Amino acid sequence: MKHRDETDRKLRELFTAARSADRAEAPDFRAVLDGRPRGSRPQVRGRSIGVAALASIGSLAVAALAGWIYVQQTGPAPAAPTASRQGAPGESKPQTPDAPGLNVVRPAVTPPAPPVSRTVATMSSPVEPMATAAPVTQPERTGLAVRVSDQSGPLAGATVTLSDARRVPAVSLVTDVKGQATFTALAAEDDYAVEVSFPGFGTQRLDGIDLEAGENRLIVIKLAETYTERAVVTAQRAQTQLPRTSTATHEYIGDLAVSGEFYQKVLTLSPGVAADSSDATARGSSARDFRAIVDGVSNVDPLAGRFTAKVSANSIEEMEVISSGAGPEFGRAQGGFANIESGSPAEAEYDTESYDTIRENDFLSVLDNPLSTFSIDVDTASYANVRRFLTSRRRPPRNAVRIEELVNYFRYDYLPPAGDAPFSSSVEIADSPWNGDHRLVRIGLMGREIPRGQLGGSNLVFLIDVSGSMQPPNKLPLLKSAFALLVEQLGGSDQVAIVVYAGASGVVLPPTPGSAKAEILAALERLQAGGSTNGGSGLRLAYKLARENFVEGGINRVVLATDGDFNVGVTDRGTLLELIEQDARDGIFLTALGFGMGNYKDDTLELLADRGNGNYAYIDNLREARKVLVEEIGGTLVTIAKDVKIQVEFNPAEVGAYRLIGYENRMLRKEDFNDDRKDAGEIGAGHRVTALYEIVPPGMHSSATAVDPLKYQTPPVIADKAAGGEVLTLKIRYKEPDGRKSRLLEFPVIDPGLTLDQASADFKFAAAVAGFGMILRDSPHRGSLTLDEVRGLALAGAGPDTFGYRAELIELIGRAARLID
Amino acid sequence: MDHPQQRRELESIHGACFGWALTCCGWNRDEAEEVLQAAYLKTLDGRARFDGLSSLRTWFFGVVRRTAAERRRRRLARAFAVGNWVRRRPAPEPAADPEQVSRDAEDRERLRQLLDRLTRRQRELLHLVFYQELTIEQAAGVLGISLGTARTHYERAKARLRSLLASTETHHEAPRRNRPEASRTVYGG
Repeated sequence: MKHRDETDRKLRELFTAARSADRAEAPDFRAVLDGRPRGSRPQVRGRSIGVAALASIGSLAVAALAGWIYVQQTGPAPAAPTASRQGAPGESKPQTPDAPGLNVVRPAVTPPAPPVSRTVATMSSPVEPMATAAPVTQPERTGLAVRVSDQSGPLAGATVTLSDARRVPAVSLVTDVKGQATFTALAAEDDYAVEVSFPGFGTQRLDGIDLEAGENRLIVIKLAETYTERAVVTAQRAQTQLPRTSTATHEYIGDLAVSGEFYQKVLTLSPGVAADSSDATARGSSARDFRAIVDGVSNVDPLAGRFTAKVSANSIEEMEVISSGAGPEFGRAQGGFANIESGSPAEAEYDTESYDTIRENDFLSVLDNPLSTFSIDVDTASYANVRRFLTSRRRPPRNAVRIEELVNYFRYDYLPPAGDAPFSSSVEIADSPWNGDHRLVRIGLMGREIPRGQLGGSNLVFLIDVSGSMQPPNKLPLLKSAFALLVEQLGGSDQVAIVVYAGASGVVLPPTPGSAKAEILAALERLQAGGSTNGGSGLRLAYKLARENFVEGGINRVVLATDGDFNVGVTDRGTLLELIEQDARDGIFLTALGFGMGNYKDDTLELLADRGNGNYAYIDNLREARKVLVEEIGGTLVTIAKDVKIQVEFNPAEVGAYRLIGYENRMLRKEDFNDDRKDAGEIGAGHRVTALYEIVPPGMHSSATAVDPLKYQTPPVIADKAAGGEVLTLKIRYKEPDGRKSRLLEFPVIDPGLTLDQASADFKFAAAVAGFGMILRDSPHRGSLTLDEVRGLALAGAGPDTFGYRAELIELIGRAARLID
Repeated sequence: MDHPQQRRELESIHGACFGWALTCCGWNRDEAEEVLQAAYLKTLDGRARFDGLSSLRTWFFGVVRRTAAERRRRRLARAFAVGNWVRRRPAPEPAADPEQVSRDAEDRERLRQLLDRLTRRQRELLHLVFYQELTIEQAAGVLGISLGTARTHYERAKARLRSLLASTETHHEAPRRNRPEASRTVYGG
């Protein structure tokens, strides 16, 4: 009782004080009602406007003039009495205004004063206005983690939707391999609701979740299957049935003729088990009753009974097969049970995958090579490919690792372009994590977003490879699901046609409005794999359809889905590429999607997409399909600017040598920059492009090879402009999507001197990804960087990570660590 | 109630209404003024009609609360629709402010830090009861919840504050930041 009175008394005291303080500062009734201009505040007794407040207004004005601030302001900077909280008074360094239109990340000590009542949102949090005029403690990090399992363990790939009390809008995440989805940076509120769903299971919903500030709640949800067959679990087995178990170890498998095949073949070693690449049966029972577990995770699609992942037989450490009489603890395994542990990768690779060799960019001396020119690249297939290798416990081949594609896989928080500009440009410079003497320059471009409603009519032709090699579940069946996702996004002003190629090629669905979803989906469903590929005629047919149904001012695109096995005659290839190029000039672009593994030909797809002025992506699961076709649909389909080239001139007074990380097969000659006949990459709507340079201060030892002094020329003289303190000048050339002449943007860049600590989370993460790539490639520039350090850096840069993509990378780093060290 | 009289009434409770608006808007002054203005205009031009069933004050508080919620929702919807991932700017550190002289303002600051650790509903309830001096029943009316629910939240809020007050009493430190996952790592070097 006594405590209760104590609390009451204390509360009353505090509230009364608050009330008096408010009274002293309250605005006049008339003033509020009539809406007097913002910025004029009643003077509070005994307080004067701080020096810091004036400085903040000043820097805000300068920054606004320089175009740095892209967010809308609700009014001029406040002269609120408590503005001094925003930074110690008098500490604002005088700033050189940045080049108009360029965003430069500065040290946190001297930010422009945040505009009053600016609200900022990340996808996962209901918005709370960030109080600046009346400062308030930053609300503690409140989060909610949802762990989903079914009766056999964690359930990955489940959809978890969180909505707050208002129920609109909701945020959805997909559970990771541990079955967990984490929502961060939430507001402390009552009555959140969580809904969990997964195909084949009943949807579960949980209401009335109250979260307090600083609380991080974990909710565990178990989903129940909605099958008609039920596993009856009893405590004892029938006495007469003994399990038939056979165990095979790595050495044993290695000696067999099945070496180099997929593990399903190894299963056939066990008596009574018949298996092919997609499923297995034991003793004549149904494929759906055969349970295969790889490293503790179910490898069987619960609906179709097919295997979902291929594991090379060479990577099996130990395999146990129970072909009958498996006890109740093995779940739905009336038919048979295989438990596979994969281990260290085998030496030999039997795949027919091919990759171009990449010779990494080396350091170049600025005096000899002041200009660095390259085409921007938004393809991200390398990441998905690397992920595929690591997930199958194999180290990715060096040349499958393209660092710029790894870095560009992730969404960075660039400010969107202002006004009519097709894209925005940002620069951030901080220490290099793998060499403390060097700095890293991060250049980011971001294409204008186009809201779904404004996408205008689209004319899409799906060109689908239905040859025999497309049969496995992660090819044609996945493709069907992936395209179904895309079809869901379309509307009446869009039209879709489907062309297939295999043996003969043909139109499976004539151009149909996007609103006739049932028709389109039915046509997709009917597709069957079989026959050999005849890519050439398929492409011709697809482009013909696209031309015939061309939509002026809309999106015209051929979306090619294949495993890359094009089987086009050599002589035909040249004419084919010419055809694609010509159509690209007429506005029909190509998106190439790669499915499946084991037959994946990376360079073919990239070449096609390149010539077709489009992009390519590699889809290995439904989640990736959703990312490419749904989340990034704007970018995948709409080109905002084409032939985008970057040329950087480094200042020899500030930089001794530099190295462009990645982009090896995108380098251009310096003359190509101003040559409009030379093609380059595209930026799609909402797409971000990131490039990293490692730079070395002048005079410091670098690996740039020394060149003999010239005999017939005197060394170049450094111009006066070099003394200005600029580190580099960034130039960008681009063309409008249907333009012929390029436009130039030019930005001088000064290094504000951020340490790695002060750099943004995005910078840290991008650097971590680059470091990861360098280690995977065993790059000579990695120094003493370890995967542990990379992991730590990635964690530091993870940020809100709404969709869990960054968490996935961190997990991949862990897998790589087990493989490499 | 006719127009000029209503206006006079509103003016007489203006100070209290502003305090309430502040609470509904996360103590963002500009936002509170805009919300309050919107609520005044709604009332005076008849879009929001007082039915005379409660006191004008409790009824108007409800209008303010709903207006604040609406604005939040609209902002949120806009952010989602456009898909603009605007960078989150960190709120300023709660450092000790050398210019602050008023004891009241100090206490108010301390109170806000404590209230920040409660849910929105708890925060609003406590404000209505202790600051506006309403009964729990009246407060329930303002928030649009049942009396039982209000009582539960009220008790929970006080219990939470009790423990918070106890800890701050002995330590008197700024609230700790609590990250969802430990990310203390050392990198580089």
